[in-house]
Amino acid sequence: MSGQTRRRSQEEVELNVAAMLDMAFQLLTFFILTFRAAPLEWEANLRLPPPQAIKTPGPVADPGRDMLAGKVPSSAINTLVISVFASPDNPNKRPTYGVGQMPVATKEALRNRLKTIFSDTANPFDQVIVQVGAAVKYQHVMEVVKVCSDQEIAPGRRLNKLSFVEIPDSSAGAGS
Amino acid sequence: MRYEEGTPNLTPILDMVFQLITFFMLVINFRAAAIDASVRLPVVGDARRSSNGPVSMLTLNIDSEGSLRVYGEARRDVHAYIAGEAQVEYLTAKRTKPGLQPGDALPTTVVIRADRSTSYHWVHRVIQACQQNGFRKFALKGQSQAREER
Repeated sequence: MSGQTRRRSQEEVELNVAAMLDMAFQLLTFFILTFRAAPLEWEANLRLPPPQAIKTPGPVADPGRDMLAGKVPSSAINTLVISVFASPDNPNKRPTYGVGQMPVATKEALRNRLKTIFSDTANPFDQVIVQVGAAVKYQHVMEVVKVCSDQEIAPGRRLNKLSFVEIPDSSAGAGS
Repeated sequence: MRYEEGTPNLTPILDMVFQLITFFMLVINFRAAAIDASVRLPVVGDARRSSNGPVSMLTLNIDSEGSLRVYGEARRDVHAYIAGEAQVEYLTAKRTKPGLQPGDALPTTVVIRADRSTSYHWVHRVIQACQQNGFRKFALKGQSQAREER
Protein backbone atom coordinates (compact mmCIF):
# COMPACT_ATOMS: atom_id res chain seq x y z
CA MET A 1 0.00 0.00 0.00
CA SER A 2 1.16 3.52 -0.65
CA GLY A 3 2.08 5.73 2.17
CA GLN A 4 -0.98 7.77 1.72
CA THR A 5 -3.48 7.08 4.35
CA ARG A 6 -6.90 6.90 3.01
CA ARG A 7 -9.26 8.48 5.36
CA ARG A 8 -12.04 6.15 6.09
CA SER A 9 -15.20 8.09 5.64
CA GLN A 10 -18.58 6.71 6.30
CA GLU A 11 -19.22 4.46 3.35
CA GLU A 12 -22.59 4.66 1.85
CA VAL A 13 -24.15 1.35 1.01
CA GLU A 14 -25.46 1.46 -2.49
CA LEU A 15 -27.90 -1.10 -3.76
CA ASN A 16 -27.17 -2.24 -7.26
CA VAL A 17 -30.58 -2.13 -8.91
CA ALA A 18 -29.40 -3.09 -12.38
CA ALA A 19 -30.35 -6.74 -11.85
CA MET A 20 -33.76 -5.81 -10.48
CA LEU A 21 -34.31 -3.54 -13.44
CA ASP A 22 -33.56 -6.39 -15.80
CA MET A 23 -36.14 -8.57 -14.09
CA ALA A 24 -38.63 -5.75 -14.15
CA PHE A 25 -38.11 -5.33 -17.89
CA GLN A 26 -38.68 -9.06 -18.36
CA LEU A 27 -42.00 -8.84 -16.53
CA LEU A 28 -42.98 -5.71 -18.42
CA THR A 29 -42.24 -7.36 -21.74
CA PHE A 30 -44.37 -10.35 -20.78
CA PHE A 31 -47.36 -8.21 -19.83
CA ILE A 32 -47.05 -6.04 -22.92
CA LEU A 33 -46.95 -9.06 -25.22
CA THR A 34 -49.94 -10.71 -23.52
CA PHE A 35 -51.99 -7.53 -23.30
CA ARG A 36 -55.16 -7.63 -25.33
CA ALA A 37 -57.83 -5.02 -24.89
CA ALA A 38 -61.30 -6.37 -24.25
CA PRO A 39 -63.52 -5.37 -27.17
CA LEU A 40 -66.59 -3.24 -26.56
CA GLU A 41 -69.48 -5.49 -27.42
CA TRP A 42 -73.19 -5.45 -26.93
CA GLU A 43 -74.90 -8.53 -25.59
CA ALA A 44 -78.42 -9.78 -25.16
CA ASN A 45 -78.71 -11.88 -22.03
CA LEU A 46 -81.39 -14.44 -22.66
CA ARG A 47 -82.85 -17.47 -20.98
CA LEU A 48 -83.61 -20.13 -23.53
CA PRO A 49 -85.97 -22.75 -22.14
CA PRO A 50 -85.49 -26.41 -23.04
CA PRO A 51 -86.48 -27.15 -26.61
CA GLN A 52 -89.91 -28.54 -27.26
CA ALA A 53 -90.71 -30.75 -30.20
CA ILE A 54 -92.63 -28.74 -32.77
CA LYS A 55 -93.96 -30.32 -35.91
CA THR A 56 -93.47 -28.37 -39.08
CA PRO A 57 -96.93 -28.47 -40.70
CA GLY A 58 -95.76 -27.57 -44.17
CA PRO A 59 -95.03 -24.52 -46.32
CA VAL A 60 -95.90 -21.22 -44.84
CA ALA A 61 -98.49 -19.34 -46.86
CA ASP A 62 -97.21 -15.94 -45.82
CA PRO A 63 -94.79 -14.51 -43.34
CA GLY A 64 -96.29 -14.07 -39.97
CA ARG A 65 -98.40 -17.14 -40.19
CA ASP A 66 -98.28 -18.81 -36.86
CA MET A 67 -96.96 -22.25 -37.67
CA LEU A 68 -97.97 -23.49 -34.29
CA ALA A 69 -101.61 -22.72 -34.90
CA GLY A 70 -103.60 -25.91 -34.64
CA LYS A 71 -100.55 -27.86 -33.51
CA VAL A 72 -100.38 -26.63 -29.97
CA PRO A 73 -102.49 -28.57 -27.52
CA SER A 74 -105.44 -26.81 -25.98
CA SER A 75 -103.74 -26.76 -22.63
CA ALA A 76 -100.82 -24.86 -24.12
CA ILE A 77 -99.53 -21.75 -22.50
CA ASN A 78 -100.23 -18.33 -23.92
CA THR A 79 -97.63 -17.94 -26.64
CA LEU A 80 -96.55 -15.07 -28.84
CA VAL A 81 -94.94 -16.13 -32.09
CA ILE A 82 -92.57 -13.83 -33.93
CA SER A 83 -91.57 -14.96 -37.41
CA VAL A 84 -88.48 -14.08 -39.40
CA PHE A 85 -88.10 -15.50 -42.89
CA ALA A 86 -85.37 -14.92 -45.40
CA SER A 87 -86.10 -13.32 -48.73
CA PRO A 88 -86.49 -16.24 -51.19
CA ASP A 89 -84.33 -14.69 -53.91
CA ASN A 90 -81.54 -13.33 -51.74
CA PRO A 91 -80.97 -14.27 -48.08
CA ASN A 92 -78.82 -11.16 -47.65
CA LYS A 93 -81.78 -8.89 -48.27
CA ARG A 94 -83.98 -7.65 -45.48
CA PRO A 95 -86.08 -10.58 -44.20
CA THR A 96 -89.81 -10.60 -43.77
CA TYR A 97 -91.24 -10.35 -40.29
CA GLY A 98 -94.47 -11.40 -38.71
CA VAL A 99 -96.13 -11.23 -35.33
CA GLY A 100 -98.64 -13.98 -34.79
CA GLN A 101 -100.80 -14.06 -37.91
CA MET A 102 -99.93 -10.54 -39.00
CA PRO A 103 -97.09 -9.78 -41.39
CA VAL A 104 -94.97 -6.77 -40.50
CA ALA A 105 -93.16 -4.76 -43.13
CA THR A 106 -90.17 -3.26 -41.35
CA LYS A 107 -88.17 -3.60 -38.21
CA GLU A 108 -89.61 -0.38 -36.82
CA ALA A 109 -93.11 -1.64 -37.45
CA LEU A 110 -92.16 -4.84 -35.64
CA ARG A 111 -90.90 -2.80 -32.69
CA ASN A 112 -94.10 -0.76 -32.55
CA ARG A 113 -96.28 -3.82 -32.88
CA LEU A 114 -94.52 -5.59 -30.03
CA LYS A 115 -94.69 -2.48 -27.91
CA THR A 116 -98.44 -2.39 -28.40
CA ILE A 117 -98.78 -6.06 -27.56
CA PHE A 118 -96.68 -5.95 -24.42
CA SER A 119 -98.31 -2.78 -23.19
CA ASP A 120 -101.42 -4.87 -22.60
CA THR A 121 -100.50 -6.21 -19.20
CA ALA A 122 -103.93 -7.75 -18.71
CA ASN A 123 -103.03 -10.72 -20.93
CA PRO A 124 -99.36 -11.50 -20.37
CA PHE A 125 -97.67 -14.10 -22.52
CA ASP A 126 -96.16 -17.14 -20.89
CA GLN A 127 -93.67 -17.62 -23.64
CA VAL A 128 -92.36 -15.85 -26.70
CA ILE A 129 -91.25 -17.99 -29.59
CA VAL A 130 -89.12 -16.65 -32.41
CA GLN A 131 -89.35 -18.86 -35.44
CA VAL A 132 -86.53 -18.21 -37.84
CA GLY A 133 -85.96 -19.46 -41.35
CA ALA A 134 -82.81 -21.52 -41.67
CA ALA A 135 -81.36 -19.21 -44.32
CA VAL A 136 -81.83 -15.99 -42.35
CA LYS A 137 -78.53 -14.32 -41.68
CA TYR A 138 -77.43 -13.95 -38.09
CA GLN A 139 -77.25 -10.18 -38.56
CA HIS A 140 -81.01 -10.06 -39.12
CA VAL A 141 -81.69 -12.43 -36.24
CA MET A 142 -79.75 -10.19 -33.87
CA GLU A 143 -81.73 -7.17 -35.03
CA VAL A 144 -84.90 -8.99 -34.05
CA VAL A 145 -83.35 -10.09 -30.76
CA LYS A 146 -82.49 -6.47 -29.99
CA VAL A 147 -86.01 -5.37 -30.79
CA CYS A 148 -87.36 -8.08 -28.46
CA SER A 149 -84.92 -7.39 -25.64
CA ASP A 150 -85.81 -3.69 -25.73
CA GLN A 151 -89.45 -4.50 -25.00
CA GLU A 152 -90.68 -3.86 -21.51
CA ILE A 153 -93.09 -6.57 -20.41
CA ALA A 154 -93.56 -5.13 -16.94
CA PRO A 155 -92.34 -1.96 -15.22
CA GLY A 156 -88.59 -2.29 -14.95
CA ARG A 157 -88.57 -5.73 -16.52
CA ARG A 158 -87.47 -6.39 -20.06
CA LEU A 159 -88.18 -9.37 -22.22
CA ASN A 160 -85.29 -11.79 -21.80
CA LYS A 161 -86.92 -15.18 -22.12
CA LEU A 162 -87.21 -16.38 -25.69
CA SER A 163 -87.48 -19.70 -27.41
CA PHE A 164 -86.01 -20.16 -30.84
CA VAL A 165 -87.39 -22.47 -33.49
CA GLU A 166 -85.72 -23.12 -36.80
CA ILE A 167 -87.99 -23.35 -39.81
CA PRO A 168 -86.57 -25.15 -42.87
CA ASP A 169 -86.26 -22.99 -45.97
CA SER A 170 -88.79 -25.04 -47.89
CA SER A 171 -91.45 -24.01 -45.41
CA ALA A 172 -91.20 -20.33 -46.32
CA GLY A 173 -92.95 -18.75 -49.25
CA ALA A 174 -96.16 -19.54 -51.02
CA GLY A 175 -97.74 -22.62 -49.57
CA SER A 176 -100.82 -24.62 -49.21
CA MET B 1 -7.16 15.92 -13.00
CA ARG B 2 -9.11 13.28 -11.27
CA TYR B 3 -11.46 11.18 -13.22
CA GLU B 4 -14.54 10.11 -11.29
CA GLU B 5 -16.66 7.20 -12.27
CA GLY B 6 -20.15 8.24 -13.28
CA THR B 7 -22.82 5.81 -12.32
CA PRO B 8 -26.34 6.57 -13.53
CA ASN B 9 -29.03 6.51 -10.93
CA LEU B 10 -31.40 3.72 -11.94
CA THR B 11 -33.96 4.31 -9.23
CA PRO B 12 -36.31 6.60 -11.22
CA ILE B 13 -36.32 4.31 -14.23
CA LEU B 14 -37.09 1.38 -11.95
CA ASP B 15 -40.01 3.33 -10.51
CA MET B 16 -41.38 3.99 -13.99
CA VAL B 17 -41.02 0.36 -14.96
CA PHE B 18 -42.91 -0.72 -11.84
CA GLN B 19 -45.65 1.75 -12.70
CA LEU B 20 -45.98 0.21 -16.16
CA ILE B 21 -45.97 -3.32 -14.75
CA THR B 22 -48.70 -2.40 -12.29
CA PHE B 23 -50.79 -0.91 -15.10
CA PHE B 24 -50.55 -4.00 -17.29
CA MET B 25 -51.22 -6.32 -14.36
CA LEU B 26 -54.42 -4.47 -13.59
CA VAL B 27 -55.69 -4.49 -17.17
CA ILE B 28 -54.73 -8.04 -18.02
CA ASN B 29 -57.72 -9.89 -19.46
CA PHE B 30 -57.51 -13.63 -19.79
CA ARG B 31 -61.06 -13.91 -21.13
CA ALA B 32 -60.07 -12.04 -24.28
CA ALA B 33 -58.03 -15.08 -25.32
CA ALA B 34 -61.27 -16.96 -25.99
CA ILE B 35 -62.48 -14.27 -28.40
CA ASP B 36 -61.83 -14.91 -32.09
CA ALA B 37 -61.18 -11.63 -33.86
CA SER B 38 -61.91 -13.12 -37.30
CA VAL B 39 -65.60 -13.38 -36.41
CA ARG B 40 -67.37 -10.22 -37.52
CA LEU B 41 -70.17 -9.58 -35.09
CA PRO B 42 -73.52 -8.24 -36.31
CA VAL B 43 -74.03 -4.51 -35.99
CA VAL B 44 -76.76 -3.73 -33.49
CA GLY B 45 -77.59 -0.04 -33.71
CA ASP B 46 -76.93 2.04 -30.64
CA ALA B 47 -75.61 -0.81 -28.62
CA ARG B 48 -74.85 -0.30 -24.98
CA ARG B 49 -71.78 -1.71 -23.37
CA SER B 50 -72.45 -5.10 -21.89
CA SER B 51 -72.53 -5.52 -18.14
CA ASN B 52 -69.59 -6.82 -16.11
CA GLY B 53 -70.57 -10.31 -17.12
CA PRO B 54 -71.18 -13.50 -15.22
CA VAL B 55 -68.40 -15.25 -13.43
CA SER B 56 -68.73 -18.51 -15.32
CA MET B 57 -68.77 -18.21 -19.11
CA LEU B 58 -68.32 -20.43 -22.10
CA THR B 59 -67.47 -18.45 -25.23
CA LEU B 60 -68.39 -20.00 -28.58
CA ASN B 61 -67.19 -18.32 -31.77
CA ILE B 62 -69.10 -19.38 -34.90
CA ASP B 63 -67.71 -18.50 -38.31
CA SER B 64 -69.68 -17.92 -41.49
CA GLU B 65 -69.46 -21.60 -42.42
CA GLY B 66 -70.94 -22.81 -39.16
CA SER B 67 -67.74 -24.11 -37.59
CA LEU B 68 -66.76 -23.38 -34.04
CA ARG B 69 -63.55 -21.36 -33.81
CA VAL B 70 -61.61 -22.57 -30.80
CA TYR B 71 -58.35 -20.66 -30.32
CA GLY B 72 -58.04 -20.12 -34.04
CA GLU B 73 -58.87 -23.68 -35.00
CA ALA B 74 -62.07 -24.57 -36.84
CA ARG B 75 -64.03 -27.43 -35.31
CA ARG B 76 -66.98 -29.08 -37.00
CA ASP B 77 -67.73 -31.54 -34.19
CA VAL B 78 -70.03 -29.10 -32.47
CA HIS B 79 -71.96 -31.58 -30.36
CA ALA B 80 -68.88 -33.39 -29.10
CA TYR B 81 -67.11 -30.17 -28.22
CA ILE B 82 -70.08 -28.70 -26.36
CA ALA B 83 -70.71 -31.98 -24.55
CA GLY B 84 -67.11 -31.94 -23.36
CA GLU B 85 -67.35 -28.36 -22.20
CA ALA B 86 -70.65 -29.10 -20.44
CA GLN B 87 -69.01 -31.91 -18.52
CA VAL B 88 -66.25 -29.57 -17.39
CA GLU B 89 -68.75 -26.91 -16.35
CA TYR B 90 -70.85 -29.48 -14.52
CA LEU B 91 -67.88 -30.69 -12.49
CA THR B 92 -66.85 -27.11 -11.76
CA ALA B 93 -70.35 -26.12 -10.68
CA LYS B 94 -70.65 -29.23 -8.49
CA ARG B 95 -67.86 -27.88 -6.30
CA THR B 96 -69.99 -24.98 -5.19
CA LYS B 97 -73.34 -26.77 -5.51
CA PRO B 98 -72.90 -30.37 -4.33
CA GLY B 99 -76.58 -31.07 -4.91
CA LEU B 100 -76.29 -30.50 -8.65
CA GLN B 101 -77.37 -33.57 -10.59
CA PRO B 102 -76.66 -34.56 -14.20
CA GLY B 103 -79.36 -33.03 -16.36
CA ASP B 104 -79.89 -30.00 -14.12
CA ALA B 105 -79.55 -26.53 -15.55
CA LEU B 106 -75.95 -25.35 -15.48
CA PRO B 107 -75.17 -21.91 -14.05
CA THR B 108 -72.70 -21.18 -16.86
CA THR B 109 -73.58 -18.51 -19.39
CA VAL B 110 -72.90 -19.43 -23.00
CA VAL B 111 -71.57 -16.44 -24.91
CA ILE B 112 -72.31 -16.82 -28.60
CA ARG B 113 -70.21 -14.73 -30.98
CA ALA B 114 -71.34 -15.56 -34.49
CA ASP B 115 -70.34 -13.94 -37.74
CA ARG B 116 -72.97 -11.59 -39.10
CA SER B 117 -73.20 -13.59 -42.35
CA THR B 118 -73.70 -16.94 -40.64
CA SER B 119 -76.96 -18.65 -41.53
CA TYR B 120 -79.29 -19.11 -38.61
CA HIS B 121 -79.23 -22.86 -39.20
CA TRP B 122 -75.67 -23.10 -37.85
CA VAL B 123 -76.38 -20.86 -34.89
CA HIS B 124 -79.47 -22.87 -34.05
CA ARG B 125 -77.45 -26.07 -34.15
CA VAL B 126 -75.10 -24.66 -31.54
CA ILE B 127 -77.92 -23.35 -29.35
CA GLN B 128 -79.70 -26.70 -29.50
CA ALA B 129 -76.53 -28.59 -28.60
CA CYS B 130 -76.06 -26.29 -25.62
CA GLN B 131 -79.65 -26.74 -24.47
CA GLN B 132 -79.34 -30.51 -24.75
CA ASN B 133 -76.32 -30.39 -22.48
CA GLY B 134 -77.95 -28.31 -19.77
CA PHE B 135 -77.04 -24.76 -20.67
CA ARG B 136 -79.91 -22.33 -20.15
CA LYS B 137 -78.31 -18.91 -19.97
CA PHE B 138 -77.10 -17.35 -23.17
CA ALA B 139 -75.51 -14.06 -24.15
CA LEU B 140 -75.68 -13.18 -27.85
CA LYS B 141 -72.98 -10.71 -28.79
CA GLY B 142 -73.09 -7.84 -31.24
CA GLN B 143 -71.19 -4.63 -31.85
CA SER B 144 -72.28 -1.03 -31.87
CA GLN B 145 -72.79 1.06 -34.96
CA ALA B 146 -70.05 3.48 -33.90
CA ARG B 147 -67.43 0.79 -33.84
CA GLU B 148 -68.48 -0.47 -37.26
CA GLU B 149 -68.04 2.95 -38.85
CA ARG B 150 -64.45 3.25 -37.68
